[in-house]
Amino acid sequence: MKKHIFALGLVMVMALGLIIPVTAFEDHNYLCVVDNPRLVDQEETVLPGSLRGDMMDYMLCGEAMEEAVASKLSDGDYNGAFGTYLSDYGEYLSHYAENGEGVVLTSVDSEPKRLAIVIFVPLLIALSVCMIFRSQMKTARTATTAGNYIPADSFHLSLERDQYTHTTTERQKIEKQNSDSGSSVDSDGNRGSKGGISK
Amino acid sequence: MTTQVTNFQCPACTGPLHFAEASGKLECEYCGSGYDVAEIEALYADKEEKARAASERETKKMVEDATGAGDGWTADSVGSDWSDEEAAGLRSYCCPSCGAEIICDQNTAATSCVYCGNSTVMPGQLEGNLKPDYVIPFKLDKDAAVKALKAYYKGKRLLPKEFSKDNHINEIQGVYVPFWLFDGEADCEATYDASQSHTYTEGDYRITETEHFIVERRGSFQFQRIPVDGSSKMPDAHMDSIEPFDYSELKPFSTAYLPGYLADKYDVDAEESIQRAYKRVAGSADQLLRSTVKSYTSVSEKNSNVHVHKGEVRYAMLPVWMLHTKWKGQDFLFAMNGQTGKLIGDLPISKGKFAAWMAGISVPLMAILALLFL
Repeated sequence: MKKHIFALGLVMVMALGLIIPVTAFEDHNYLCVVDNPRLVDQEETVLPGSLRGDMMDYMLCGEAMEEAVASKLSDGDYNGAFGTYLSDYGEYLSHYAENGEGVVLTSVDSEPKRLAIVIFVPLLIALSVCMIFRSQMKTARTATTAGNYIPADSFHLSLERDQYTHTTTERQKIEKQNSDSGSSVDSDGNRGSKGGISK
Repeated sequence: MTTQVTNFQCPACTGPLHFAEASGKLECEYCGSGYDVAEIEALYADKEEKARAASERETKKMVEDATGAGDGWTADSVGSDWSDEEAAGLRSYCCPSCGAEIICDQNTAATSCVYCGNSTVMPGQLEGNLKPDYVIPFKLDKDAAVKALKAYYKGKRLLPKEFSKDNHINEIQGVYVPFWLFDGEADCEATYDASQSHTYTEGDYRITETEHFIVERRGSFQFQRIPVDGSSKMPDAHMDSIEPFDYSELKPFSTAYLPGYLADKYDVDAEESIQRAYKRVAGSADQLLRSTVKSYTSVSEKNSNVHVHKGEVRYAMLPVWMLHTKWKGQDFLFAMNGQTGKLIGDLPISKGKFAAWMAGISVPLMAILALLFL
C-alpha cells in the first residue's frame, strides 16, 4: 500500500516537474506585443518601443525574475513560484490594458501546447496509476531467475577485463538568445587502451 | 483391477487419521489421539507388506476366475469399453474403510474416498525409484488458505465488487506437489559495450567526451535446490510464484504426512524439467555478471554464454493449497504455499472501475491545470 502511494506521489511530482519548466521557462513565448508583434522572453533586456517602465523591467529583466520567482524555484516551491509569477503578471497586464499603452497578450502559438499539457499530463498520470492497480491483479508469473537458490558467497569472478577502445568528443555551442547553435562529433579512433585487469 | 491402498487408522478407535498442520502429528478426529509420524510409519510398515501380498494373491485369483467364467447375466451391451489410452491413465482402488471403489488417475498417490471421506494413500505410487527424497509437511490449514484469499482481495481497486461479494470458493484442496530440486554449478561469461561520459565547458561550447570500452566478465557460481514442479497439472507460473519454500524444514519422505491431502507422483521427469531450471540459472548469470560492470554511463550486452554442470537432483513433495473458483463462466485458480502462506493468482479486472479511476484522477487534475495554465 505504502509502495503504491509512494509511486503515485512520485508520478505526480515528476509530472509537475515536467509541467512547470516546460510551460514557464522552456517556453520563451511569454508575450506578444500587438503594436509591435514579436516574441520576447525573460532573458531579453532591450524593450520594444511602446513598452517601457518598471513593469517591463520586472517582466523582462533576468535579475528581477530571479529575485521574484526563481528564488522560490530554487527552494523547490514550484507552485509558489508559478503562483507569484501569474499573480504579478496579471496585475501588470491589466494595468497596461487600462492605460492603453499597449496590449500585452500571451502568445497565441503557446496555447495548443498548454492545452495539450492540460489534457495529456493528467491522462498520463491516471494511466500510470491504473497500470499499477492492474499489475496487482496478475501475480502469477513464471520465474526467470534463481537468486534465492544461489548461496551468497558462491559467485566468483575469474575474468574482469575493461578494454578501452576509443574516445568520441561532441562539441555543442551553448545557446544564447537569437544566436546560432550547432554541434559536431569527433572521434579519435582506436587511440590506445587502458584497463585490462585479469585475475 | 483394484490395487492395495492404505487408510491410516487410529490404533485406539480405528477412526481415520489426518496430518495436523499445527501439531505436526497424525491426529484422530474421533477420539482426539495424536501420534508421531515415525510411530505410525512403524505400525503400518508391516500392514502394508501384508496388504501388498494379499493384493498379488487377489490378482492371481481374478485371472483364474475369468478363464473359468460360466453362463449368467451378460453385460456385453452395457456401456462401452475404455480405450487402451483411457484405461492406461486410470487406476482403481478399494477403500479399506468402506469397500467402495475409488477411481483416480495413474499419478494419484493420495486422495480421499468420495463415499466415506477417509484419507487414502497409495504407497505403491511412491515406491522404488518413484519414492520422493523429501517432504515439507503442511504448516497452514484450510482455514488459513480461505483467510489468505479473502485478505488477497483487499486493496485490489480494480476487482469487480460482485466477484468478492458473490464469490464462493468452488474447491479448495491441499496438494503435495511433486518438485524436482536441482543442484549444480554454472560457468558464465559475457561481453558488454560500455561508455563513460563527462561534460565540461570550453568558451562558448559544451564539450562531451565519451570513452568507449569493451568489458569482459567471466565467473562461476553454485546453485542449490532450484525447485521445478514435476506435475503437468500444475500451472508453472503459479508454482514459480509461491516460492520460496523454507528448505530447513525438509524431512525425509514418509507417506504418513499425506493423509488428508491430495498427492500426485510426477508426470514430467527430471530431464524434461531441467530446462526450466537452466533458464533461471541463465537469467541469474546475466544478473550477477552485469552487477559487476560498474561506473559506466551506459552498458549494453553484446553476448553471453552459460554452461551448466549438472549436480544432484532430488525429488520432493511440497505443500500447496489450490483454490479454485468460477465467475461469469471463467475459471480462477489461486495457489498458496502451504508452508509460508504466500498466495498468488490472477483476478478479473472491472473495466468500469478502470474507467472510473482514469476519470477520477485525470478530470480533477485537468481542472486544476486548466485553472493554472489556460
